Amino acid sequence: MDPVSTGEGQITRERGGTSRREFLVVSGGSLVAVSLFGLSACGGDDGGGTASGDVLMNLSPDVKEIVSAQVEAFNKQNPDGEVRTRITPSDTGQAFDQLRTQFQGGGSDIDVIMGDIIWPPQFAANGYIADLSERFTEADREAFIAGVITGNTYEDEIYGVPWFTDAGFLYYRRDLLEDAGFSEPPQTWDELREMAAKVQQDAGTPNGFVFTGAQYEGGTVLGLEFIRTAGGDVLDGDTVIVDTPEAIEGLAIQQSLVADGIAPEAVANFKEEEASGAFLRGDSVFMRMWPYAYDFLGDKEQSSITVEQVELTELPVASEDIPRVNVGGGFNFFINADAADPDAAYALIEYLTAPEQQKQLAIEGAYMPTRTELYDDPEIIKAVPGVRLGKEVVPATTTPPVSPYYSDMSLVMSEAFNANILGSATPEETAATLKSELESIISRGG
Amino acid sequence: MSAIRVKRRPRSSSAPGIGFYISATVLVLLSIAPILWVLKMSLIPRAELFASPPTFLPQDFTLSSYSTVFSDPTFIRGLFNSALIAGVSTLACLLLGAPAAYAFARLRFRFRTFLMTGILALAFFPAVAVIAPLFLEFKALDLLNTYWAVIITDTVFVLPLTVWILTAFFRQLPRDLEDAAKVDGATTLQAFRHVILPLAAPGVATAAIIAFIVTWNEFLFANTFLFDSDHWPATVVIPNFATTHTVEYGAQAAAALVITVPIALVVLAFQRRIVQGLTAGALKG
Repeated sequence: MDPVSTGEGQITRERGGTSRREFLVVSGGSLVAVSLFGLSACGGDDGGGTASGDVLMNLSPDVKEIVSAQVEAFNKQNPDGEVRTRITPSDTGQAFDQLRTQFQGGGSDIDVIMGDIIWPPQFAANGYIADLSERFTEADREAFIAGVITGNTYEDEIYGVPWFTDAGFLYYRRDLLEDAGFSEPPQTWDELREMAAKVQQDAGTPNGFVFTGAQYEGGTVLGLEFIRTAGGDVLDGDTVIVDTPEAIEGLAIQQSLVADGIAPEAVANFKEEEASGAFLRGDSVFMRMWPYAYDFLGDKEQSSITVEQVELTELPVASEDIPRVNVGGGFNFFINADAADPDAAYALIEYLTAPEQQKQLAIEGAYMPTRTELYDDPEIIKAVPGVRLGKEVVPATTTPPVSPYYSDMSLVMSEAFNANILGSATPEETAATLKSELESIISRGG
Repeated sequence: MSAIRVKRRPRSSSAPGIGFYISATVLVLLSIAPILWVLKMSLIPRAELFASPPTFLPQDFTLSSYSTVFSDPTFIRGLFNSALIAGVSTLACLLLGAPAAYAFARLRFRFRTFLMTGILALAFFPAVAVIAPLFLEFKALDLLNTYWAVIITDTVFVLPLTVWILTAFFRQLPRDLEDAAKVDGATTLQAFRHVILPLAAPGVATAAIIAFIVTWNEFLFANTFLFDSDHWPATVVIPNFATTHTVEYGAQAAAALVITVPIALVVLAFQRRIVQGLTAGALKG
């Protein structure tokens, strides 16, 4: 009945390993993931149209306009098949849940999946997306930023082609620092603390530092950043190493910044919108944020400060000998393991991730490219501040831990990091609790 | 008899005192405050939305949120989809619910009470508990990503409410009406169609409005079963006034009001009937 029966045996076997507990997972507050019906469901019958070059791709609303035009151009060049797009929720977590629900229910009709950097291991471990190692050769991969290639790699095979990337930057008020007598941005967290405190005192700026600390994926990323900028990490392969002195120091830095009044306690509820709002209103000296917020500087509707007052740089570290690091993400393309026409699907991916299309996405949408060569392109540098400053920051971008259980882990981590901000436990206690929780997620297989 | 009725009661118990007005005001404010806040959010510029401390009264007005909402084809399409899904589900609820309610109200059969309770229990069944099996069922039937998946589920979940409202209403109508019709040669079904149903119009209208409100506001099923933005009802479109990093709270507030207003107007227009329908049979026990 279907051309993918060999692949299906694989899927079935691997799904059999998933635990019953996952029968019903409610996440993101509203979406429900259906699981475990791999044994009865036929994975091959819904692979998206006939093998005629037709491809169905999902798109988040953000990039709809730019990509629709590119897809139209691609369709003109390839009259044999037709690429259609389907808009998925703009909330990445919700889009993920929706896709996972479909896969767990037996398959999705989307052939080319546009998805977050944390998706590949979770989808690959279940056999939902295709191994691209043969098509996306090691030589091809060399043109891309190393960190995003790692994020798309699961058990030594590559599952995604990086499309655009996001990185964590330190935004700072050049004018305020200068007034306070600092000519350089902080290199370490201690310097940041010192400068922020001085400006808060001299200029009366209400907040020294703002970041996204709410209980959500962004909170997880920030917690990871504090840990990694202190030289620690959460996972090493399958081993949980969040209780090392380095990791605990990272948690301690995060906690003390809030406890000492450098960061307001409200960061425990801050997402991007609130954090960048506080900074753009001129209420904070420093901010850890993605490059997108730079676009709003000088926009009178939202911002009371201008481009001239702000500069972007790398995140500080706990001590000078620790290499610079930030935790980022970005979007990638995957191919459904059951795609009707994988060749056509890959042709589309190649087209969309080509230098020319990435350049267009960067200039028109301010999305940072994943191809290293584009960071030298003068037109992009001019148009996208993230790229201009990205020469140092982007190579230092790391992705969240690569794990098929990442969603479960992220929930646990965001809770722990959030509690750490509020000071409800010591960093040591938080690390110990987090370690045991993460270990139980790994040992019970999700 | 009438003399007793007319006799004046002490003033204190007939005219509401100051306490009544105070508690009424508090109650109204409590229930309307969230809506007023959303209204305010929809009318102020973005900078004011994030002002700290927040402004209590709007300082600045703009209609830009409304123009965002109304210039979005997905949202306009969403309103149409909502009307379609809610309309068909409501119709199905009435077509299936009215005869069932009539049977419960008039016929004596075994397990009647048991069935009535069973139907009610269905209404209390948590939706999230059945959504996984339903998803697979619809997948097997090839109904995923079609209006039918949502219409069928909505109908099943709203039907119990419809049946209960209508049963109470039918019970209230005197049995003599059908008896008279039957003496004239009508069958039970004919009596139901030509005599009872027209008289029960207020009850039917109540059931219809309530079914429509519930299905119009439904989010979970639509969000799970419909993948394509072409099929999304307005409730599913609203959270998508956002980008990966930012949320358009103003547009979301405006959209929320846009979908609430028609419902509020319908309820206000039929207010008396709804109360009548809901309290039907209440005094007979």
